[in-house]
Amino acid sequence: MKVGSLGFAGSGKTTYLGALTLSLLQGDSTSDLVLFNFDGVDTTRDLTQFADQIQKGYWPARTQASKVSEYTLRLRRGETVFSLRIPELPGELLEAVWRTDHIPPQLAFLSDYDAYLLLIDPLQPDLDGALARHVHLLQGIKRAKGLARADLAPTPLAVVFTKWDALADEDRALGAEGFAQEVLPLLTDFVTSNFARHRFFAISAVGAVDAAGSPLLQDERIRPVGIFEPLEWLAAGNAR
Amino acid sequence: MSSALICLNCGNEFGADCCDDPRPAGGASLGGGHPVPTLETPELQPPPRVEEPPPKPEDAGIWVGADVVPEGSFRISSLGYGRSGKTTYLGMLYFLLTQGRFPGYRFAWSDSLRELETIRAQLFRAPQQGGPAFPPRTDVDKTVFLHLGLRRWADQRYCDVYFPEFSGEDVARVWSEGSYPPNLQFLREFNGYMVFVDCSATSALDTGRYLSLISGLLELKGGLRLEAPVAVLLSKWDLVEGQGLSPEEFFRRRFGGLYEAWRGQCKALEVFGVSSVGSVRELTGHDGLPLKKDGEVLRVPAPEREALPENEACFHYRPRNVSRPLLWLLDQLGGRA
Repeated sequence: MKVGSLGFAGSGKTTYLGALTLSLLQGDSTSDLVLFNFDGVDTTRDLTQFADQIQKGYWPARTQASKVSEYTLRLRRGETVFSLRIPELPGELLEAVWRTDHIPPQLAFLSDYDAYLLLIDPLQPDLDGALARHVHLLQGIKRAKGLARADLAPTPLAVVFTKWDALADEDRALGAEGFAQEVLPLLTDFVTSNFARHRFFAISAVGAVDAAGSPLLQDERIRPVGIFEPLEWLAAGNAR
Repeated sequence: MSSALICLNCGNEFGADCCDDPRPAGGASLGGGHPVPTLETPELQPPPRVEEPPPKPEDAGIWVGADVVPEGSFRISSLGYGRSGKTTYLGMLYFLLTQGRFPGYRFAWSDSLRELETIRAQLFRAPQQGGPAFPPRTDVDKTVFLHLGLRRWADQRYCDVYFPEFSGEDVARVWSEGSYPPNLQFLREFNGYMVFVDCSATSALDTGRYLSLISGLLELKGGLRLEAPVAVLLSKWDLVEGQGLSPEEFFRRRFGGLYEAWRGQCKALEVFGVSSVGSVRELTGHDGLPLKKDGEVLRVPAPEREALPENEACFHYRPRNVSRPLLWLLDQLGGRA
């Protein structure tokens, strides 16, 4: 299964990958998805570096604007092994879609994915304006897949709100679905109108931050929240 | 965060004449109880091009702009001259959709997101940047189309709404030749029309110009009578609503000839008083003189302002009847396309 993770600069894509890797390496998976192996030297090196930075209490370095990679993780559920191919790409390149109405050549492969994770930082300034860019990006991918705008895309879409732990209590109380409907109706309506299979998730890649704003570690372990749920849902092929 | 006030009874946006036609909640039927029409498979027609794609160098990537896929079978278009309030109306319509406040329909698509975001940003401009303002007047060299796609809650039907911004040249031809220029011929394929009439422009010359919008369309579509439903939007209604007339009465009194002509030319016609921003205020300089060099009064939207912590502000607009004309058109069209 090829899962395309999408997110603009600062949305937490790299941190999500790092936290996912760290949890898999430490065997801390809260789901029945466990590590089988990493596929390839690049995947092993880069993902373990992301994980290592988090384990040392740092945030993974921001993805270089020119770097586009695709990592393959093999996960096991019971006796079934499946591959998860996740791209790592700079948010700046995605911004180009908004400016130019073109998916840059480096990202042309995005239209080939079987499922998508859309990572959104709900705390970013001018969230309303940012949502329009997310909608524009999803429109572009749907078009690149050759789908008419009136059609419902069969491709599953997991909308993932990152940094959930930093949200106000009253927002978190809504849950991911309620938060989307209450605070982000433009995106919610667009997703409902265009993706037959979709679901909203709330995650906190590192669980909590310390007083300095760095990942909070306990016994060299982070306590991520919800990071496996979108993958479980996509892997299970659950219809909404 | 900002808002538009919505009537909790009918789901429409706030208005003095709100709730005279309550609609049931839940979207099972729309526009005062019209039955949900059955969906028919529409005949596909070539859509208007929103804009020509820029030249595509080999390494430009995948073009995902508006003209990639011929699509759009269920279409409504606005008609109106410059300064008639089309752009502001569209901006507020978009805002209602972004807030999930358009009764019975949800936002589904837009080929004009950048433009719509620009309009929204003007209407909700921060006080530090000069406060809310109307979108800049559209002076385009080439007629372009702003677009919204809606999907109905009840049956998932999809509908395109286009808002052409006519170029000065095209507008002049509609007026001077009484017909739409060749590049606007596709308007004949549309299913419904929203005609913008500026309440504050009531001269004989203005009336004549409005007249040519429908007569030109009749020529385009052929026949003596327009089968497609027409919603007449009396824009800037807040400027005249103090007269105590209903939109229909106002239209008949101020545009009597136009009223009669359109009643004869259009099979289905409905008049709406529309105020996209609810109220406006006039700006003058410290010396009390007009700010504009030509002496024209400068009007800006006057939403209620709510002060927020950290020197931020929230604006509450009270739009009137922004959704109702479009809902009426959609109801009239039912499943026809």
